[in-house]
Amino acid sequence: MPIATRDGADQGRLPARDAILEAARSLFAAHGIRGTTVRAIAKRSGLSNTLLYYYFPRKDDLLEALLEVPSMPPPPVSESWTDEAFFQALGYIEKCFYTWTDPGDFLRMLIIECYAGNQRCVGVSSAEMALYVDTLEPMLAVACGRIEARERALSLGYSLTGILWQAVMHHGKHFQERLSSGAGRERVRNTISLLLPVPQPVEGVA
Amino acid sequence: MTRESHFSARDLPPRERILNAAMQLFADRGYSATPIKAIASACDMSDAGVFYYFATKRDILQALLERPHQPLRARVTVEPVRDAHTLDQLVLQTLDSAHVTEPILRLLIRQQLVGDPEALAARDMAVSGWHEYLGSWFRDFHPDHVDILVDAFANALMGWLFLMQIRHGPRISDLLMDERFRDEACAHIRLAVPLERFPLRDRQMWRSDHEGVS
Repeated sequence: MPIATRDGADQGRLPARDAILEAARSLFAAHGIRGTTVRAIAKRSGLSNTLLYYYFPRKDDLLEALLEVPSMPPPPVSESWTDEAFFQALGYIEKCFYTWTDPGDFLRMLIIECYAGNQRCVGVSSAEMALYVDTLEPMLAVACGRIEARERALSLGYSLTGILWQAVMHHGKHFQERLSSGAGRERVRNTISLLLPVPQPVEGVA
Repeated sequence: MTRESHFSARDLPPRERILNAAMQLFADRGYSATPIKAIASACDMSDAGVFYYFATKRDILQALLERPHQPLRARVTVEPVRDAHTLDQLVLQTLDSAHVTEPILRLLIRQQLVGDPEALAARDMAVSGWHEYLGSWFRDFHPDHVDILVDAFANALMGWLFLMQIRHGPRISDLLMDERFRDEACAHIRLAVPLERFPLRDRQMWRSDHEGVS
């Protein structure tokens, strides 16, 4: 699973391919997958249909390329579960959440596709969750051991998905503003804090 | 437990029969594609009979949305939430309700995601009603932390349910009655709603505060 940076990957990418993907991403986000024609993507990216077919023979190939499981930087792993470690973990998980929800309309479109039964999108969601648990495990294991760390990581994934899902349901296209508002951030922080193990007092300090 | 068991019974009151038939039809065909006539014939009534109980189709939808709080089969008795055990009961009762209302919720969610304002308003109302209902179970023992506990409970359950719905599709309705699934949900909610971190207000003391000062 790619948790590394994208240094190596970027060199192999061609500008035309990137332009097509960018156009496809914004059109899919605005009109859904079925509501977007290959012709419209070509037009938006300023390239010919032929070139587009050369890179992506089918519309599904475009979706496939856009659905790469996003990478996360490695989490901070402390030696013991102190107050400091707790707040570092809180900050890290919060940052991951806002990075994840950053694609905005594109993410909303994926959620709609998932709900409509698009198995490819559902598969990505499961892969994301597995990667999330693997990534958080070493950070949380310091506090509560590996098994509980994985359970807590999974629960974090569920609860944060719940926050995102409710925001999308209630606020539609404006869900991102809502999540980034003061109340939205407080809600995210509260949810994470409750799911993190309680910090252990440092020995020898009264 | 099959879903048919809920609405084939002729001995149910007419209002319930209408609601059960409507739920099934809405889920199968979609809300806008279901005329009152179809609902009436599904429960052997005349159109006028249905209109006697519900003035509009929207009223039927509204009534269906208010039902989650009164499950058709109260399999689990809920008590005010005080510890992990009482928390589990609230989770299990919620899953029972979700099992019964899953088809209509699924339909509403789809309509809401494509921007149907009617579905949006109906579901917003149902959700705020649900939050109030949850609050009533947390208030007795954690009166100062109702909001944070309800929020943690709702986020945890909605996220879990959403991921299970997309992973399992319509099969989720039956899986909600599966013991392994139910245990998993309870374990997840216990982690997300760590009651042990909140001071417990003794209900007896609270009562004497109010009653004893005579």
